[in-house]
Amino acid sequence: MKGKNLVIISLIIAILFPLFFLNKSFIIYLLTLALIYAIGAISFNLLLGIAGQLSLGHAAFMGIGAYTSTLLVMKLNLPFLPSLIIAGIVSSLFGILIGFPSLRVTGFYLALVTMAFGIAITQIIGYLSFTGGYHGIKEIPPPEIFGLTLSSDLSKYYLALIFLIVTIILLTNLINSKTGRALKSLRENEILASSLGINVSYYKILVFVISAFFAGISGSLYAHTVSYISPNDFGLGASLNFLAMIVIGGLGSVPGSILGAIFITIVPVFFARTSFSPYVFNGIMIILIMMLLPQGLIYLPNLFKKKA
Amino acid sequence: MLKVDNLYVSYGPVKALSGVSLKVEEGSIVSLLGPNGAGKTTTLKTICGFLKPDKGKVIFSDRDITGHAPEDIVRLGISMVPEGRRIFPELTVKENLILGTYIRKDKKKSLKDLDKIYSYFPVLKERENQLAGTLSGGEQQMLAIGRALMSNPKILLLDEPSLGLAPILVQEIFSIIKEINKSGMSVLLVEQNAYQALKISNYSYILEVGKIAFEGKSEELLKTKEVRKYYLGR
Amino acid sequence: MFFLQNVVSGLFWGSIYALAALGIVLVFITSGVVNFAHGEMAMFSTFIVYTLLTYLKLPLYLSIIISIGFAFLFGMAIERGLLRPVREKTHAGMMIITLGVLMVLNGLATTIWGTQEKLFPPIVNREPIFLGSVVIDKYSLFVFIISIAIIVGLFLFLKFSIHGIAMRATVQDEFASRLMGIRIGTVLSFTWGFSAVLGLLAGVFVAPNLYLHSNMMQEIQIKAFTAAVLGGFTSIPGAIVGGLLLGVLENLIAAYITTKLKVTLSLIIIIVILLIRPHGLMGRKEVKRV
Repeated sequence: MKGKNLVIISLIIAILFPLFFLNKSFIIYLLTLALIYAIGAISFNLLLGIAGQLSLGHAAFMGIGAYTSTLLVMKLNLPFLPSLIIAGIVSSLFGILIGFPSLRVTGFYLALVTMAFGIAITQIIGYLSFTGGYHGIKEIPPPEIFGLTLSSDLSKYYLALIFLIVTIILLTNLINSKTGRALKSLRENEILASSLGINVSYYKILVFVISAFFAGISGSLYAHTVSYISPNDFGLGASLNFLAMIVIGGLGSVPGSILGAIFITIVPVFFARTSFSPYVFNGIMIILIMMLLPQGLIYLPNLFKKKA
Repeated sequence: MLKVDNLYVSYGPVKALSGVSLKVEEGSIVSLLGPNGAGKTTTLKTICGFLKPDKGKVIFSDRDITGHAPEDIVRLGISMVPEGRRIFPELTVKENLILGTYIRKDKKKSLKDLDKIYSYFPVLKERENQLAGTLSGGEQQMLAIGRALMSNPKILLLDEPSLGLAPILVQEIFSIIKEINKSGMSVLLVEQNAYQALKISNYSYILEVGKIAFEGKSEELLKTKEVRKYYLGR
Repeated sequence: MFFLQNVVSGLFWGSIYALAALGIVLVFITSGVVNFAHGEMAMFSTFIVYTLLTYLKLPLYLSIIISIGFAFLFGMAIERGLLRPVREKTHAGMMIITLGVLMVLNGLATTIWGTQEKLFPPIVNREPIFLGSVVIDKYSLFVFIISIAIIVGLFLFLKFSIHGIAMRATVQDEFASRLMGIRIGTVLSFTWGFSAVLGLLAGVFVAPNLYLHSNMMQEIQIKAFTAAVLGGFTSIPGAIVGGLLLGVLENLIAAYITTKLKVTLSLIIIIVILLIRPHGLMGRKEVKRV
């Protein structure tokens, strides 16, 4: 019961929050980014936190989605929503590709391969001319839905919020379903899972496909919100950022992913005036959380509950 | 030589040992018997320093070694052949044996001891350069014993050496234990195979749910009615 | 002779990749952890040398020796302070912590020393030496010889000395290692310390050519991983073979096809090897323990 109330309260806050900052569009923009990253973070948490696949190239999926959506809208004049969906699908195709190594290797070998894949994809995007090379693509048009151009920060925020809510609903249901339990068994003990009749290969590819799909969608939203993308936005640094988000927020937790995404997106702003790099802060947080609170910040309230 | 005095050891809330006392006189073979879960391995682990008792003492050569670190206890002359062999699978047989001499300062004598071990277990010499993980169960058991002996200990602890071995190998292992003892080595033998253990040991203790249920000269225990009924199945 | 020239300069880079790979493989063999922060630790330690050199005006050799001490303590501190506390709980957690260290060090270096590339002096001057029709400079030859010597030395140590065997044993069975009297903590600390020193050396060797900056080691690290994967992550001779092979291959491709594909080549190698033959050219096949 308490959980449900919390969800409703969060929803209300999320809907009303930006209305208090109508004249500070930067804050709304920042929150929109956080929501978009949250979609990517939840998809990554599905892959790593739930299914235990140590993949360090997740931002590449987001990048594929971003570039696909951008090119479809700008070069082929496709409308936004279909482009978004196709972006998700193209990403999930790459999910199959990058999921294949997970059938052969696990653990840090998988981390290495996925890291290599992630870097390779950004490098390739950088070589190709029709992607704008290393300079990227500028002036990406804002999302257009049913004739409405969502060019204001506020409208982009609510668009992102809607997609986030849909993502939360779909993926939470997935996690609590039979499929979700099968995925969790991958994390726990693959050999045991397969001896129980679970088709390990199928589920491994499946989780890569699903998480890539949602990452692709977040990429599309990113592109049309920020209006500028370049290969660097989706490289190793971005993948490590996603890692920071779910580790700090809470591995395996959907609300944790959102918390982590907000944390990682908002906090650097406080360091903007100093020469203190947010990278340092993220790194310290990862270390502290892993050592002191491995379940992530989402577990913090439980600590207080225990004391009471 | 080795004395365990009124040991109380627990794993969290679970009491594994409740007042266990035993003695190993120099040059003798003492066996510690009892069913699964009685606390035999717990006793050995406590002697070796892997577990800290809540109460009680472990005394070795008149030194109180209760709660000392395993790395230090080994250096005092106590060597254990752990349950399940625990040989290093990716090292060769020879490397496993050499590692037994890690704590020793007399390198030259170590090499002579290697030959001695090979005389006990010729099959190890044959497989000298093979990876230990590829050895059979019996061979691994011999390797584990050999490795423990390489540290030139004063007392040898064995945790269920017969586990998982074919009867003919069990005979071989036990006769080698007897031989090692003849050369002066004190032995504390933990076993489920009560009959064999009683046959080669001088004195025995039988552990039940963390307490000593029976103790006495092995040959007498062999004849005792209750012992025969519960532990020897006769 | 264009070919031979490229092979020779490929060997120089290869020996550095091998040295960098060695640090990673050593830690992996002994503690089972992949230190993703290895490159950044090396970069950071090299910056310490630079600081001693430029701000305290100490001579190069002294700066390097002091920094070796720093790197050793640094490596030990990271193992003891950050990794040992979580060792019992989770292996993946240790990897993630090293990723955190990577981030911290990279950001810290940028904050402290800025983003501008710095000049770093070579240990030995760059006089050209003529070996037949091939030219190599004294510096490259020096680096090559030292790197190979270190790697061979370490290999012999690990294979034949009792402490080396003990180091290899700790990752296989900790309980049994303790029964042998091996002090696991000491072994781990020493390994991490030594690995950090290896990283420092790789950084010092490479800095004169790549110019010292906070992202200097990132490319080297990718290649170090490639070398380790190619050679087999559990094999030190593999690291040499992998490193040299990569260096030569890379150079030949740069010379005959294009220089732009160097990093991509590494990535492709990693991907292909891990998919086809995860234990590399010389590593041992991993037996899955149920």
